[in-house]
Amino acid sequence: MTKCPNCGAELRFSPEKQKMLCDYCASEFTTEELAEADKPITEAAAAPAKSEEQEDREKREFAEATRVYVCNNCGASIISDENTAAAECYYCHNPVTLSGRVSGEFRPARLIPFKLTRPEAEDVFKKFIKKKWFVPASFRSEKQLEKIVGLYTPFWLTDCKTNATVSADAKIIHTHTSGDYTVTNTKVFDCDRAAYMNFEKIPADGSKKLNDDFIDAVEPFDYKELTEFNMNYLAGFMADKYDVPKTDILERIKSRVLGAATEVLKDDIKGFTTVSITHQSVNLIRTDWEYVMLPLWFMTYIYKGKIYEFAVNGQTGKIAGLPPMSGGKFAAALAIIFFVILLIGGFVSGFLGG
Amino acid sequence: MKKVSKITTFVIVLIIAVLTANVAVYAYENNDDVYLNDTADFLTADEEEQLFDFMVTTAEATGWKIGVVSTAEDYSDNGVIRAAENYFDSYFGSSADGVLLLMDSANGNYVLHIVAANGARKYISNSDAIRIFEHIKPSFEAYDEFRTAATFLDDAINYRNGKKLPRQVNIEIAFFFLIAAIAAAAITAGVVWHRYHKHAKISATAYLNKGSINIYNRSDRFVREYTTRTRNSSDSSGGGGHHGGGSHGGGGGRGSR
Repeated sequence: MTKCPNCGAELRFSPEKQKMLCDYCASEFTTEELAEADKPITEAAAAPAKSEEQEDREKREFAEATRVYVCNNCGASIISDENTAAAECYYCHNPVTLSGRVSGEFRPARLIPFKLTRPEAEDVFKKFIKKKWFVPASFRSEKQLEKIVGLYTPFWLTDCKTNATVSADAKIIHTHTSGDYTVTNTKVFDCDRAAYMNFEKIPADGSKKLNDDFIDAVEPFDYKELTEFNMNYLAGFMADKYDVPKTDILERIKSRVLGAATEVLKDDIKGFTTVSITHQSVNLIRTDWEYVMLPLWFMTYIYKGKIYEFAVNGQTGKIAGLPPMSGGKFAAALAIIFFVILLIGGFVSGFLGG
Repeated sequence: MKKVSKITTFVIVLIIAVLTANVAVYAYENNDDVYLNDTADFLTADEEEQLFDFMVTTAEATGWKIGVVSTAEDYSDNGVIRAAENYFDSYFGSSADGVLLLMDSANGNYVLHIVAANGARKYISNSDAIRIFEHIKPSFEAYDEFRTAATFLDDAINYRNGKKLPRQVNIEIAFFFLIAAIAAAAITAGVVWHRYHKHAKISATAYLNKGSINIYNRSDRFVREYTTRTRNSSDSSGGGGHHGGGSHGGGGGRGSR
């Protein structure tokens, strides 16, 4: 039996679609795509894996050296090393309780160590908030910064081989003037593009609590600094336990790949005045995953009953987050813009009015 | 004999009556300071007389030469400026200080032009002349030429005394700025709201292995061709102002009535 190159489940042939189908992850493959899927995505993927014995030993050591704290309010599971005690939930700020050891399967293969110190992360946050004019004054409190936590966040890095297709309406438009008339000549073309292309290490966080768009916004990470996991990196930091299995991120990866593949194929349609996409599709014909932890300085702020999340990339210092907006300040700014333009209009219309 | 005497008396009375009547119709006489020429016959005899008196008063009050001319030509913008200046120069001389109103109406369209010559330009600039045009326009459009000219004379005295007409707001421009203000506020609201509610989208092209792209289908099929022709707009709307030059300035505008 042929196995699904995305999830490993068995494939079956669909006479209706004339394709091999995966009932588990809903992938579909043509014969050509399965042949393409046999080729490794990256050289690293083709490299021999660790021995089972070595992997077991590492998982056992990880389980013994870590502690798991559970938040009874939001359900967050926080991993720390045995010397770092967690007192409150990094997400909802409620007290957490020690629930024992963590299973070895949560040991990441690799991580990127924190490069940004806590004061540096605080500076990034302060500068970010300073530029936000419409943030309520009470939001700028220094106390807020006490809640910043260095959090190793679980990520699935996905390598994938894709088959993408795009159809577009393209036009060549020429305009010239003839006497009193403007003459426009339009030639219409149907354009198709299809390509295999590989994506490497697309990150997707493995935490249900974290908003995906928010976490995507702190990208990119420099993967050259990915290093073998070592318990020493956890000292003084927290780690979030993943609760989204790798197969559950397939749709998210597919959606991101579709956008990027369409961009690439649209760029290939050249020599036209306008190009508008009429159809786009992408098929993931092989995916490889790696479970890693990536460093984020993380902070949530509860304002008027709503949780606002902020994250600073612990490697690059890029910040993401949506602060609350003061309705009063916002309305005042709009009123100023409105009346200034109206005032200018008053002068100009009076001046030109004679 | 008695009958002849009666006829003679009647003829004499008639001649005196006619002469008196003529004097009543042409009671005014243009002089060095005042020039009234109603070629288009907009005014009644009484109106002409009254207007002439007012022109004399205006000339005395301002120290300017005062002219009012009506015509029924179909002038272009430049044509009306030249005509008005010619009327002024030929009657008062090109170096005289003064003002002249030319009222012209033909084929349902009209043009009013105000000349401010030499010393009068210090008091009535081109934009002031356009303002006076806007002030007298409603009377002219209402076929009240006497009021048009009288208002012009009144304005001339006021300007000579430093009392200018208030600026008129250009409704079209004011409306444009109102729309612009609403649009700017709406765009700002949209941009700010978006920044406070939506995260920046990061494209996955950063993770694409560019060397791996293998485009195996590339087809561009011609479907159809069409040509459209649109007529270029060449309409010009009425209204607005036109300006004189040299030692004569002024302004005015046109419309239809």
